[in-house]
Amino acid sequence: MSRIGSMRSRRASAKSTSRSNSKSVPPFERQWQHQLEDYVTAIAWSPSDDYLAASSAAGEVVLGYPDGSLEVLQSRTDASVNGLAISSDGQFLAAAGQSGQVVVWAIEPSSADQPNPHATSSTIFSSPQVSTWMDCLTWHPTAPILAVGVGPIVQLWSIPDNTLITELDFERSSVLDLAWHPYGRYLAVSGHGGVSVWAATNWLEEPEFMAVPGASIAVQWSANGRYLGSGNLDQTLTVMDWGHPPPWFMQGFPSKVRQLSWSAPLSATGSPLLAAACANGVTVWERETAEGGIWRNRILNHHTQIVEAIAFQPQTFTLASASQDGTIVLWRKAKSVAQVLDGAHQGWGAIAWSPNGQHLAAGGQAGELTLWSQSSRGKGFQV
Amino acid sequence: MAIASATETKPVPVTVLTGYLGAGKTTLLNHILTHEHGQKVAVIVNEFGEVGIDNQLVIDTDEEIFEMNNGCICCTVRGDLIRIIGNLMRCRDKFDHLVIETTGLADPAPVIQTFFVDEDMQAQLSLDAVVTVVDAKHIHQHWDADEAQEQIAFADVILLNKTDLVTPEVLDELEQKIRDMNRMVKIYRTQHSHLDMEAILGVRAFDLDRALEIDPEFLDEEAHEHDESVYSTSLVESQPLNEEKLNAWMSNLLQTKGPDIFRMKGILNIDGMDERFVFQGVHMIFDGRPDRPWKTEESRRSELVFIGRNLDEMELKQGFKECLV
Repeated sequence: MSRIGSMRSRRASAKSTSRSNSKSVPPFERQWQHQLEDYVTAIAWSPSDDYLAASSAAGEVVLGYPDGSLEVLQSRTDASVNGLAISSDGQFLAAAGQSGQVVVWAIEPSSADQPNPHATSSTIFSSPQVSTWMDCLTWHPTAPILAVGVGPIVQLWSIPDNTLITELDFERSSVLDLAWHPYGRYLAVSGHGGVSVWAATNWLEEPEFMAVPGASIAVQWSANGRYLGSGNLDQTLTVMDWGHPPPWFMQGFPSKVRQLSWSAPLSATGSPLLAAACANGVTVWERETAEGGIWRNRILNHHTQIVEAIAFQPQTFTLASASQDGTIVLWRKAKSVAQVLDGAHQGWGAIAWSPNGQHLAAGGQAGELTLWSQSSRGKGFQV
Repeated sequence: MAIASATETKPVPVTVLTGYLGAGKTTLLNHILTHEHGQKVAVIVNEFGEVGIDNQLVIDTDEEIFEMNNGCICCTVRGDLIRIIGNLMRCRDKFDHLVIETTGLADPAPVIQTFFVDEDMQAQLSLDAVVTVVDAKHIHQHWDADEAQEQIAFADVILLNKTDLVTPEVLDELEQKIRDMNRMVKIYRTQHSHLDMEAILGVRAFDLDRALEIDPEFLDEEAHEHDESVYSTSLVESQPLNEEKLNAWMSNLLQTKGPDIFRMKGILNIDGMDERFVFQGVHMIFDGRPDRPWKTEESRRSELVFIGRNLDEMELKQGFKECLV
């Protein structure tokens, strides 16, 4: 449905940057594809790149390995799994969804008789069951502490000793997204009206609040912990230089800003790039000068349908965007099309880079789970 | 090719079920879930466990209202509904119709607006109808409550339920009162919420192709005094409309009277346009497009219907007249 009132124009010109470089060899080659029974809802990588976990709307949870093998931890159930996360030491895998319960498996490292890390046969932790469909969970960046959104409450669990550390009340609405500060200093919680940021030094202290119009639906800290970004339901983007308010407020998006990704490396002006997925496009924001500069954007146009997921390759400015149109585009320097990957006949829904940037895993809306790896010929592709 | 199959997915129809506590909503939900109508129905409820049927597709949600302000459009949406439906639509093979139950005191507008504001909901779902269950025996106790009036005013289908507990005279009077508030609603008299499922599922009341089955008698009615602050009113003109003037008038009307306009529908005869222009609206949200060409034997005329609170009929008529060529 359209609405009365004219759409404000974008801040920058919508110049297409979809020029592909036909001379380069395909830098990423498909290694394998497995088929799950329904929409691949989430993918997570182990910190040492040796396994990934994936979940589906049919309730499956699997481990996949770069060598192509697959281990099924949970086969089809009637309840969808929507949140999946691996702890910073790679020892725990947490999953949650329609069942209203968080479960955690312990992952044992590879050994002489087990070439790959594998999960314990039964789960080592289950939270009390509630009637809430869960989709937000995230591990602390260094400790085995799991944050889980349960309606308006964030539960913090210490997994090894099975203890509920605390419950944080977002109050304004159900929790829509969660992000730990990369050094574990803060926990950012998205929902109606904005982002509440609790300091990990004292959970009882009132959180700081970054107000946004409508609701914050996606929240991300930059890898260096300097910036906090919020994608908003009201077709806007908010960015805070943490500790230096007021935040920047970017508008002119054609619809809700559904996902964000920060580049790990910094640009010439000393700030990371911020990519924001909105409708069929991705906008890339770059800070103009080191201090006091505004954020300039460019728009990456190539996809013909909604961009469901975006992620910067760790260590580079290469951006991957996965769309309902059935393609994944790798954008060189977050500017031009370097490679187009396909293989999902009803479109892509999830995407995740291995921490070393060598592998890219994606999940399809019809259950495809695909892994691409950087080919030796394509090494020159990295920035 | 991937692109074709992804776009051709059929939208899932959605029924919004409203009504005061005790009116018979849960009974109706249980009928919908147990009736052999050949459809797999997913139900989103607010109070888990109220529905007496153990079913994987009964899902709990919080009735959270999000205030939205996109430029000049203000509206409210149901935030947790967007989240839950986002998750649910990833299991889309599991169901082919969605029913959303609202609590007894809920204003139906935020639920309806959610389907027009969120792009994923627009793409994957189509609002089928607002179905309101009215307790014929007890509605008079709530008659002055805003929520009761809104639930009637927003409805496409009303079940006048518990007819066995009141006299036919009381029913006739009640039905007349409801018609004055909402002239576009289909009313069914029921006991224990028993009704053919075809009257509830697959109504397509928000489908612009079918939305405009307006009673001609009602359209040609003169403005008159209304007993209630919520009522329906209509505008009819055969002279063509100037598109620019119409846009300006409609835009101003929605900005200034949006909160009081619950629903509106219309067919417009626009100067220089060979097609009928069809539209509908909910508060400040407006959806319109050119429809089929006017037929040669058809008399071209514009018909608009408003349902709202404290609408000034004379002012509406005057404003509309000024849009004529």
